[in-house]
This record gives sequence, structure tokens and C-alpha cells, in this order.
Amino acid sequence: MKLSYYDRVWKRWVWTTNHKRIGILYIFFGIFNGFLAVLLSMIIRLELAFPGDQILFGEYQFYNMVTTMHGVLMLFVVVVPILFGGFGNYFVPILIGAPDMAFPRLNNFSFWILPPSTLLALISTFVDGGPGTGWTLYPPLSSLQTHSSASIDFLILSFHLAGVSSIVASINFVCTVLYFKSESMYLKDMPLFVWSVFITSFLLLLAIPVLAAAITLLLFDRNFNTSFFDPSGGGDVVLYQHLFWFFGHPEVYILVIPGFGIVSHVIATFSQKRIFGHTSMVAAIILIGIIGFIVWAHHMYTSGIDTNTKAYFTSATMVIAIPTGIKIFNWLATMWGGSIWFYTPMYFAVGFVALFTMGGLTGIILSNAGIDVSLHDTYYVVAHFHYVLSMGAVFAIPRGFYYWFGKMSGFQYSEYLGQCHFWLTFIGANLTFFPMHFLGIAGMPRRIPDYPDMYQTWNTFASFGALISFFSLLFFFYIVYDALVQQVPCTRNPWIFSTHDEITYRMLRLSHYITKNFISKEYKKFGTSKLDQQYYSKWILYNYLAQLKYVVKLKNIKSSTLEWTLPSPVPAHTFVVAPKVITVSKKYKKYRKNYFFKDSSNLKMNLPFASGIDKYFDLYIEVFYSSTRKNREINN
Amino acid sequence: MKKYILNDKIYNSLGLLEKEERKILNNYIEEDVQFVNERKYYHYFNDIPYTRWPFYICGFTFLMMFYLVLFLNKYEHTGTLLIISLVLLIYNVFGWFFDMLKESMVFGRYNRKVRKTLVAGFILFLVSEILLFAGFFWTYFDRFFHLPGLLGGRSVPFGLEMSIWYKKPLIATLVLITSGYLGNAAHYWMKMKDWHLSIFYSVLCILFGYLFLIMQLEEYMHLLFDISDSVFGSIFYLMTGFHGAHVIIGMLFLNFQHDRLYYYHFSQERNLGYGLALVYWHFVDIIWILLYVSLYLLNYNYGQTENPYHSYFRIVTNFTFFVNGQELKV
Repeated sequence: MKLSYYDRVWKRWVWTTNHKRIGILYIFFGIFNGFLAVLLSMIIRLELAFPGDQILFGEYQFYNMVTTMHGVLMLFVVVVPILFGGFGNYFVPILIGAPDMAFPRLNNFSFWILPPSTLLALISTFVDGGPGTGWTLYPPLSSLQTHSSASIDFLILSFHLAGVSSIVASINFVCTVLYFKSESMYLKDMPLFVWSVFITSFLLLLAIPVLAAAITLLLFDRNFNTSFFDPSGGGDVVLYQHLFWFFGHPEVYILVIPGFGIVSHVIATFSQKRIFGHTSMVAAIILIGIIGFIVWAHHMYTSGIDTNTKAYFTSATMVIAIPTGIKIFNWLATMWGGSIWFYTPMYFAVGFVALFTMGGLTGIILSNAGIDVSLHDTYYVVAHFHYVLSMGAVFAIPRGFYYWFGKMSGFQYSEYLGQCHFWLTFIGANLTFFPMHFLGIAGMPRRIPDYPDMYQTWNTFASFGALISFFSLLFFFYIVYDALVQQVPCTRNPWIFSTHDEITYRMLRLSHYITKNFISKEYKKFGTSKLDQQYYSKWILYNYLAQLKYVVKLKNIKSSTLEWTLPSPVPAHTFVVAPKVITVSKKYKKYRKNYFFKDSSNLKMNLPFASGIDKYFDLYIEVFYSSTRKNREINN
Repeated sequence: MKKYILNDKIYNSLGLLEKEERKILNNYIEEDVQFVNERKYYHYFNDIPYTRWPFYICGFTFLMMFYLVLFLNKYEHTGTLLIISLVLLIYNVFGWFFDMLKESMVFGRYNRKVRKTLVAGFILFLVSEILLFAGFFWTYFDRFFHLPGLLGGRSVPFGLEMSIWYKKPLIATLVLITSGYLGNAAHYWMKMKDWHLSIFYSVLCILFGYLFLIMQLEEYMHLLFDISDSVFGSIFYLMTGFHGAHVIIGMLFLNFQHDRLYYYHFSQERNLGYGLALVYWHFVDIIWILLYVSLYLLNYNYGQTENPYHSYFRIVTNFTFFVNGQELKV
């Protein structure tokens, strides 16, 4: 049945309430903005490639505008929409077995309020030289005396709209996770990506309104002659910094925590093990969220806060290293003794663990108020937060993308090209940001378009690395194009790995079934003695697929998370009836008899015998679900 | 044990297959793909096929923000455009609400689970509102505890005269609290199936709300300082003004729910709309009490000088303490 244009475009994509389509919209929108933001960063790096004026012809307000917009776009409309909005919308309802988000209409709103936000931010760049304040909008520089045009007003309202989007989305996520979870799944058994999105929602809910208050005060200062941040009327400039960083510090965790969730999934899948210490991972996320709210003033060591305050914020900031360390070591322990398969998502995950650790360690150095006085606003800080955000949060985008691309589109990307992309990105990003440590220690300040000759060597290296990163982004687009054109179909679970022995063993067991059902006719044609090499390879292929089919037909699909139980381009409406998720483990056997098979003594026989990963998992999730009307009526 | 990557072999060998075989394989995989073009399945929980209101709301929000900035920067004719886009925005918001009403009352789609979720979502929204006000209170107390010497070391600078805490502000506080109480009574009689009493208390609740608004306006008219008079004037008008805006929204909400009550929309069990309006109203109450304490009560000795009781209170409250030989004012 061919649908009309109205139905195809407007009803299905614009006015949609479907969480999967909204998730895809989020991802496309975020990647588009990401391209813009990367272009802006290229302007910065080209200008800084060599000392002296390179490409800007002395327009240094333009340079300030570029650094501001790079930050604003990356923080508000690239990373949060892709990781939190995109992957969150697509996979959170699937992972908890929900039919859709709790408030589908609000979900649509939370996406469509983002393009206006971006548009206002882009408009602000064209008004009288644009905002040259940095993404923090500190008042004396963003007040009426220094930025007298409307550009800052546009940017403030853009922040407001982005904040509304985030708050609405986080309300939606919290309600979905709490109330739409399938009843047989307990909170503590929820996958870690769901947990990370859940905690991120709370961070957004508590942090964003404070930003709204701060920038509202700024808007009043600019337009209604108030004096909140104006010392001549008794106002306090440092107050803005307090309010802003009360939001700003949780914001960096908002960016990176969904990435933590994805990395947990990827490492567990590609190590063929359960994640090590699920409960401690959850506890660590919660602790990071809580401590993230009480460390904001470490961004303000040079703002004139007193020594006791500095002492407190130094120690509180160092405490964050503990839950983060728990997570890092749990990932390492997950890989330890696992059967590790290095595919592209796993490359990105391992790269993330290594580079995020480096960023965290420089963070501990910077958390010392004494050292920070000399390193504040130098390139050392830039190197630190790019190691944490660019290689922590932004690495999560290709990681999640490669991990779930087959599931979302139905086509598998080219593994060879994917690994090439990883190495390009890895080398490019490190070459860009590692020299910045040296520049920072040598004393090169942030946010300057020009520098003395002594800083040239490493700046040129960094610019070269940025060019490689830019090329890798273009290459990423080519990989997506390639995957969509080649149309290599993706199976239900592309991440099933087994050794040669296991496969032959399983094929032997299944051969009778397969011969009977699938290739009996062709098999007879050739006769057993005349099997040539080519046919033999096809026979293996048929066998493997038939084996998958067999598992699927039984409706007993075994995997660690629920999304792999669905067909590969996921149908628009899934889990119309909540799936019955049975978690089987030695630990849980005792108190979960109700959800368990009655003949639990004969457990092994009830499980599908053709499952590749039971050897390594001690936790099975079995799913019985059906989409038919009949079952729905029975269940309700 | 030799490992090899099976998936790659599959994908590579797919390319080698002939057309017909490839077709078979594709069918084989696509067999499971349901629902690409048509909508077959409906679930019971808040299932909405499609909705056009959010898209329009976002468009008009953009226009409103755009014209707002131009209006603030004194471009010509942008005020009219601002009002037009605001009206269109509000029209679409009400379209959204009426859709919700239809789903609830005509189609009966709001089952217990959805209602529970709505309550939770509304409470989370209130949490974000509370954090917004927390930002304003932070601003206020920052200036209250770190008194700028420029303004005489007083929380209310010289020359600015606050209203007196025990006169009209106290009455306004009592009016707002009474209004909340009356609303609760209306909700109670709704649950007790007494429509007449419920209407009676609901009307009283709304009247008291309007009375509070009028008293606030009256205070604004009689205060002798304005929003640009030092940081105290700024924060005073900002906080009371934001609170007033929330009172207006709460009044609209309550009025709307009162109309629904009048037209028999509510029953003994199903009165979520009124309940949520009341929750919002109590949130406004609590914020006002905090505002009253921090803005009026803590500045009790900076009241208006023409007040005859003023001198009396100065005598009572203005003890002088000496700490380390220095005079400490309380």
C-alpha cells in the first residue's frame, strides 16, 4: 500500500509520537549540528596553526564568536540530543520492554523545540559581530556595556529553549522508566544504559532550572535596567558564576553519563561476559550524579573565593574520582578473562576507557586549587576537558552508532571501514589534544587568536591532528552512505560470536532439522558425494541462518538485553504486550520462583540448545512476547 | 582454539550469491519485519497515533522569542507581531489541552497507569519550578548575607522603604493560604459527592486567589521604589513578579478546572485535573510563604517611615550589642 505524501512525511516524521522515529530525528539533527560545530573548530585550529594572523584578517571578534558557538553547539545541540535524546529515545523503551515513552506528545515537543533553539543560536552569530563571550556568558563581558547588540539576548533565549527541551525529555524518561517498565523487570536489573539515562534525567531536572534563573537575571540586567550583576547597584558578578556552574558542572556529567551506559553494554557484549559488578556500576552513577552537584566552584578558583571554600571544593572534587574509578575498574574487570572480540564498537569502547582515564587524571591535577591558579584558563584545561568530553562523550556517538546501526537501519556497516574510521579518529583526536597539555603547562592561555612563536610547534601538530579528525568525520559520513547503499542485511543479533568448534558442533546437531526443512531438495540434486567447495560454503551459511531462524521461531531468544530479541530494522511498534523477562541466575533462583519455570531442576533442557553464549553467561533473559491482538486481550 | 569472525564471512558471501538465492535470503530475514507502512497494533498506555500541536507550538515559540528580542531592542512594529505570535501559541497550547480532554473523557484512554504517570510527571515539573525559584532565592540571600557596603551595609538600602510585614503582606499571605484551604475543601466535597458544596468552595477559592492578585497589584502601585532601584529593588520585583506570574497561571488552571467541575466532568474517583490544579496552587502558596519570610519578615525594621507603629518597633527591635568593642546592629 502506497501512502500519500501527507501520510509519509508529515504524519510519520513530523507529527509523529513514535519514540523510534523521534530518536532517529534526534540523531540526524545532532549529527547535522555536530558537522557545523566541527567546522567551527576547524576555523579555530586553522587560525592557530601558525603564529600571526592566518585566516581571519584581524577579525578577532569573529574568532571569539567561533569559540563561543563551538561550545554552545557542542554542549546543547550535539551531544545531549544524540546520546540522551537519540539513543535514549530509541533504546530506553525497548530495553525496558515498554511500548512507547510515557508522554508521546511531549516527546514530539521535546524534539521540535530544539530546531528553534539552534536557529536562535545561529541568528545570534549574525547580529553585530555575534556573541564573543565564551559559552559561559560571564556578565561583565555579556552585559550591555560590552555586548550592546541583541546577539546575547538571542543566545539567552536559545539556552532557554534548549533547557525546556531537556527538562521535558527528562520528565518523560523518568516517568517511562518508573511506570512503563515491564513488571517482571526490577529496577536493579535494568540495563546500565537505562540507568544512566535515568540518572541523567534527574541531573537535567535539577540543574537546568538554575541555569534558567541565572540567564533570566542576565536578560533582566540587559533589558530591564536591573542590577543583579552590576556592582554599581549593589549586584554581585561572582554570583552569576556560582549560579552558572551549579548548572555547568552537572552538565558535563549529563554529557558523559549516557556514554558510560553505552560503554558498559559494548564491553559486556564484546567480552562475552556479564558486566562486572552491575550494582556497583549503578551506585557509581548515582554517586557521580550526587557529588556532581556539590563541586561547582572548582571552575572558579581564580574568581576570588576564600581559602576555606577552595579547600572544601578541592577535596569534594577529588572524591568524584572514586565512583569514576569504580566504573573504570569494573570495565577492566569485565574484559578480564572474557573472550574479547575486537569490532569497531569495542575499539571505541576500549579507546574511551583509556582516554577517559587520562582526562580524569588531568582532572585530579586541576582539582587542586593551588595548581589551578597557574593552570586556570590555559590550554591545559582545554586538553583536560577535551579528553573527557571529546574522547569521552563524543566517542560514545560512533560507539553507540556502530553498535546499534544494524538494529536501527537493518543494514550492517562495513567492518573494515569502521575500524579504519576508529584509527583515524583515535590518532586525529590524540594528535589534536595531547600537545595542548604541553602548551598549557608552558602557559598558553585559552581563547586567543594569536600566540608567541615559542608555542608554534605543538600548535601546528594540534592543527594537523584536527585536520585528520575532520577527515575522519567525512569518512564517517561515507561509511553511513556505504552501509545504506550496499544494503548488507543485518541479522537479529549481529554480535553473536563463537569459536570454530562450537559452530561445527551446533551445525552437527542441527543438520537433521536443516536438511529436512530448508535444503533438502537442493541437497538431493547434487548428491552427497559431489559437493563442491562453493556449495559447501553456502551450506555453512544456510546452516547458520537456519540456526538463527530456529531460535527465533521458538520465541526463546537469549541475549543480555532486550533489543536483540527484535527483528533487525526494529518495527515501529514493539512490545505492545509487555514481555515477560525472566532473569535466571544462581543468586536469584531462590526468591524468584514465581517467575521461573516450574521444572527448574531440568532448566538446561528448556533453554534453546543452539545458543552460543550460555557458556559465558550466568544470567539469562528469556523473552516471551507476541504482538497479536489475542494475546493482548488475554494479558489484560 | 582458532577463532574466526563468522559474521564477516556471512556478509562477504552474501555478495557472491546469485540473485534468486539472495531473494530467498532477504525474504528469510524480512519475514519478521512487521509494520513498516501500516499501523496494526495499539497498546493501552497513552497510545497517540500522531499529533500536530507540538510542532506548531514550537514554530510559534520560535517566532515569539524572535520578536521578543527584537521588541526588547526597540525595533518597530515588533510588539504587534509578538502579541500575534503569542496568541497563536496559546491557541495551539489549548488545542493540545483539549485533545487531552477528549482522550480522557470521550475515548476513555487514561487508565490508572496513565493517571499515575501524569501525576508523577506533574510533580517532576514542579521540582524543576522549585529549582528555578531556588536560583532566585540564592540571588536574594547572596545579597542578604553579603551586604554591599555601597548601599550602607543594609539589606534594604537607604531611601528604600519596604511594606510592613504585619500589615497588607500578612493579610495577603492569609488570603492565599485560605484560598488553598478552600480549594482543598472543594476537592474534599468532590470526593464526598456533594456538587453544590464543591462548587461553593471552589468559587470562594478562586475569589480569594483574585483578591490576592489585587492586593499584590495594590502593593506594587504604592511602593516608592521600582525595579531599577538597586539590587534589592531588582530582586524584590523579580521574585514577587515571577510569583505573581505563577499565581496567574494557577488561577487560569483553577478557573478551567472549576468550569469542568461545573459541567460535571469530575466524579468521586476521577478528579485528577482539579487535584493537579490544587497541587500547583499549594506550590504557589509555599513559594509565597518563603517569599514572605525572606522579603518581608527578615527586613522587618526597614518598613515605611510614615507608619505610626514604625518607631515603636524600632525601639523594641533595635537593641545594640557590643561584640569585641564594636557595635552590632540586629
